[in-house]
Amino acid sequence: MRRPIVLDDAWRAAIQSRDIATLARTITAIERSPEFLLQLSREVFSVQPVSSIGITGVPGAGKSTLLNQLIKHYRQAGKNIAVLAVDPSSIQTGGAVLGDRLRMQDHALDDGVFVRSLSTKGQLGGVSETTFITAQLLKFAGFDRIFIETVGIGQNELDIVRVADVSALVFIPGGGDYVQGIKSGVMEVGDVFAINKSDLDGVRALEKVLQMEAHDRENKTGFVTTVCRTNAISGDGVAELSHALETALQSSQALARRASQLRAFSELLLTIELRQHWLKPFVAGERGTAFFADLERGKTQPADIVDAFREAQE
Amino acid sequence: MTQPIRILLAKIGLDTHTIGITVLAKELRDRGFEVIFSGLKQTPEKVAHAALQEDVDVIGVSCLSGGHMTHLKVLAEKMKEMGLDDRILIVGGVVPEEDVEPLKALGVDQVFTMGANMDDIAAFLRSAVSV
Ligand code: B12
Ligand SMILES: Nc1nc2c(ncn2[C@@H]2O[C@H](COP(=O)(O)OP(=O)(O)O)[C@@H](O)[C@H]2O)c(=O)[nH]1
Ligand SMILES: [Mg+2]
Repeated sequence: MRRPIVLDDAWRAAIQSRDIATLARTITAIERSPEFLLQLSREVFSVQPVSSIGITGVPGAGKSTLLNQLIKHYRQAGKNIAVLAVDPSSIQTGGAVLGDRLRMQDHALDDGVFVRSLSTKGQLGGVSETTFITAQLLKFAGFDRIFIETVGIGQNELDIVRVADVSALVFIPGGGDYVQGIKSGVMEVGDVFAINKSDLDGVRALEKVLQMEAHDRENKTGFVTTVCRTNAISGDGVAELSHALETALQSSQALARRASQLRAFSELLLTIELRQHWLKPFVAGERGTAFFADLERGKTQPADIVDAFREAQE
Repeated sequence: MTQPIRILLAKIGLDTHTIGITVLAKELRDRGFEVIFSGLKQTPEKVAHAALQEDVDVIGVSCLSGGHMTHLKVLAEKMKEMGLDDRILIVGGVVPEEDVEPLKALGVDQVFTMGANMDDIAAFLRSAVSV
């Protein structure tokens, strides 16, 4: 049986000295209890802003391997680094295999590096619901940079902008045709474009396409998007990628993101409150159960749930 | 609502028999577990560190090389040192019958060898862990 976490002075002191056991147990409590998530949210916003950086891109692009190199780069500069690595959960069972940590083994025994694997817990936006508050906890703990690796993205995983101030969108060489296939929404989440696996063929073609995209964006918005080549195995180009990310962190866009993240998180807290105290009790309660039984027998239609809910509140 | 049990799966030393641990990871995922795969060539110290950061409920070590007594002794010591002795520790792979009791004496909660049934493993973990 796990001891419950009490958010007292001893807890604050432990977190702010980056006590790993306390941090790790606190993150579990966030995931397991919505009530705890709310309590914690009252504690961890009283810090100077700390930058958070997203790493996103298609599955297998090399996001985790690239993070292994980025961590090395920041460690050499004496920075303490925390990583939240998100992998998808199974929709059917809720289970997950979280394998990003495997690629970050170079830092397994370094106390200045904290890596935590998170499952999406059924969320479809590329990160989990608790990712933002967990990142905020890590900021409160005093890490210098927070990195967030999303699940491998395809067409529609855009939530990284709600949790990270800037993001690198990681590509792999291979013609560049597939860039056209990527929905514009996904392109927009990248503040820096990284062409990883630059040891493979087809870098130049992809680079041309990405530079055109970057040009286009600069004309429209005025924001500069750097295109970098990286090799996450050798580490080539990682210093340039880090420099591009740090530059992007200075932009007004990063500041605006931070403000909108707070808004998105406030709305999330409200969503959780409504779910826990209104939605769930209704669905599991007498009227909800009766409604779903009727629905199954064809005696009612989906829209009637709204009437049942309204009646239940009267 | 039940929360998924978190389990860290690892291999220690130069043992490269990966089939069992890969099957296990997938089968546990399909039974609703969150499996953190920390890979091959781990040291007991690395396994304990990963378990601490990931705050897993269970540590599972797969060992087919014959090195289980040595590795598990060190791992159990590390776990105690790092305050992880409240976690469930299980071992699988090639473990001779006569080593099972000595492993349990070191702090291993259960041993599952060749042909172990996945439902039994899942059921054991559900009863051993209270999430
Ligand atoms: C396939 C195999 C190989 C393959 C491995 C391929 C791969 N990528 O995995 C290859 C050919 C590479 C190989 C190499 C070697 N092998 Co080999 N290999 C086997 C063999 C025939 C089957 C293993 C297997 O995959 N079984 C299928 C899986 C599904 O079963 P499993 O791993 O046992 O897992 C089940 C359970 O044990 C349990 N489980 C497993 N792990 C865990 C973990 C947890 C936490 C839990 C709960 C459960 C659990 O769940 C699984 C499902 O039931 C075994 C013989 C045997 N009977 O086991 C020998 C065997 C393991 N190998 C052996 C040896 C000696 C070697 C070599 C040293 C041979 C050599 N001289 O080169 C090398 C060593 C390589 C290395 N560095 O580790 C010996 C080990 C002797 C020992 N332990 O004392 C065995 C036992 C053969 C023998 N009888 O001598 N091997
Ligand atoms: N050739 C080459 N392979 C790479 C590079 N970066 C990563 N990989 C390999 O690509 C595979 C997927 O990497 P991973 O980091 O897990 O990708 P992720 O799914 O985006 O996190 C692994 O086998 C890596 O070793 C690179 O720069 N060059
Ligand atoms: Mg990854």
